Amino acid sequence: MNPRRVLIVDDDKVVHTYLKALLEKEGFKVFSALDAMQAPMMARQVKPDLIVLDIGLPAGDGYAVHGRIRSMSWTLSIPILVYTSRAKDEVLQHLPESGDLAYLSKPASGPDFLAAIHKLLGE
Amino acid sequence: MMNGGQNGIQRQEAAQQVENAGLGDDGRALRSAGVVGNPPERSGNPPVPGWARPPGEPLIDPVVLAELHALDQGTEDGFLEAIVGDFQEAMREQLEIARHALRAGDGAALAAVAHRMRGGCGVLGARHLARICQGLESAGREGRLLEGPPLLAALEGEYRQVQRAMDVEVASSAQGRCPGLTSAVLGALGARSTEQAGVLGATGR
Repeated sequence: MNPRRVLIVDDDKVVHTYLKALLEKEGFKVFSALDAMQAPMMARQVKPDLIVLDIGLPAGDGYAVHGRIRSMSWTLSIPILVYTSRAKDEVLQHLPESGDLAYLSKPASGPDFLAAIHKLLGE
Repeated sequence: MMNGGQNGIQRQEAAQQVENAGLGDDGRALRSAGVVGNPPERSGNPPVPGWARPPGEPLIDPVVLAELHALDQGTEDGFLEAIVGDFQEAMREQLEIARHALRAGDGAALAAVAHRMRGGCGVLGARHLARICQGLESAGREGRLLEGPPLLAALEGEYRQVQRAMDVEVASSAQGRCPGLTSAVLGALGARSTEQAGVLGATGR
């Protein structure tokens, strides 16, 4: 069985290094995008099973990335975990939670992060 | 509105605050940038609350540290060393940006960079360091730039301790992975560990 693919969209290298190790240990294949410009292109190329999306990004923001991803037929149904230190109220004003979008406050513990990922993947 | 005398006193207090924070050049630049000369209008300058780590609180959250070590055990290429290296590199760059933002009197830039620093601190479990970053972020966002120099000094002091503690963790992790390794690198780290052991011991870990 092919490993599930996760695209991490975050400009913080420390967050990337941590999440990559955490997810790889869990058996995921991990891809990275470091800014809002790169993220939709990577999503289209990689076609991940799930996207971890920060809000504060260079060259745009997570809201714009979400809009681009949801506007492309290949990527519109990919589940997105919004993983940010921004307040939940603020984020949900822009991006209401739904079956394919969830919010997780940064920083989360490893088990909490993985639980959110599995829940969003319906596991 | 404040009268000229009050304003003058505030300028002196702020200048002293900057000097006390050990940011002499920044302080002079802060004054020349008009930040110190134009404090926000309010009734007096309340002292910035103490930013010392609460007694007994560890530099690094032991639960997070255990998670990081567990991840490190599952890798052959030194996860802990890599993430600590990323953190230290990012902090070096971001501290420089924070100093520059203060010199320029740019509260928005200060808030943005403090927010970024807070992210990395959270990942590594440096809880108090993250709180100081949050204080700096709020001060920048709300234009309380007079509070910037002492907060930045507190942040730099706490960061130096976190950095030393992280170096110890990386060294112990490397020794665990390669028990026979007694290279000059580990020797050098070990020599620094005596001092660092004191730092960790003082935290009650």
